[in-house]
Amino acid sequence: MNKKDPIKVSLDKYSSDLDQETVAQLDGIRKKVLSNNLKPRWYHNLSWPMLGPVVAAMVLVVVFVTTNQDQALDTKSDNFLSDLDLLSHEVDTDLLEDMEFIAWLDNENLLEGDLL
Amino acid sequence: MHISPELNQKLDRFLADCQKQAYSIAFFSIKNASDSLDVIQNTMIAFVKYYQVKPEDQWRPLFYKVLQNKINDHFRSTKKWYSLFTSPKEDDLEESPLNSQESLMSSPTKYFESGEINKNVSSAIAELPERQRQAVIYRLWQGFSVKETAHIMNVSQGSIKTHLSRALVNLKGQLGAIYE
Repeated sequence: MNKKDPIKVSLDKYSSDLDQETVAQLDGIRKKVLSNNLKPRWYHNLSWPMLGPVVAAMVLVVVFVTTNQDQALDTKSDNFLSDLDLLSHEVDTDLLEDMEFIAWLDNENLLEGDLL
Repeated sequence: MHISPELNQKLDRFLADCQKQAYSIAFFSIKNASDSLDVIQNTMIAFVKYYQVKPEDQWRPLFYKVLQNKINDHFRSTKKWYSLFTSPKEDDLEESPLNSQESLMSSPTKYFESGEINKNVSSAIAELPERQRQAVIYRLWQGFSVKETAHIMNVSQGSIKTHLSRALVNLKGQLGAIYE
């Protein structure tokens, strides 16, 4: 017997004995591919009622993260501006660090506000 | 993607002729009905999209080349996800769909209604290592030349001869009586 014969016969039988449901699914896939009207099979298997809560949860997470980022940026921005204001001030900041001297100036009514 | 009615009819006939055997090949490798249908769908889409313009006499080898690529893609994507959660086993790809009663029960195919010889041959082919089984399927079942089989499997012609020779030794070991 030719070595190919039992193999070919067996595999031909194997494929021709596919059950009707599988054959119908293959026919459906073929028709849809050729009619250019095909959605991926996962699309049909997807549980659409479950998709709503999942999408809503994802939107909430995105909103939460985005909002927090904005607040963080605002705080950073405020600190930066006050630092900048302080650095650009004409008053000598070394003077402000000497608390005893400031207290003496205050006692003597010699601070900038008092002189005006 | 516009297809003329005449070409559409030709493609429909061609795909209808191939679909059962293509599904069987996919199922032999993938061992899961739904995934095999996915692979067939992706194969048909890619074939119609890229190869409908090719001469008709080139369609068969091209179709099976696409099929084999899609089967390989399936394994690649499955392996990627699977490896995130488990440690891979080397013999995963070598396991046969006919090895276990469970896979037999989940298969949509009525495997063994064709008598003892067909049952034995199908089982023996299913139990071959992946590459050997592909060589047998494309060379001996589908009747492609060594060159075409090598092109479909994306290996050298020498590899095909080696895989085929080993497959026949294995099959002879299991089905000796049939070949005498």
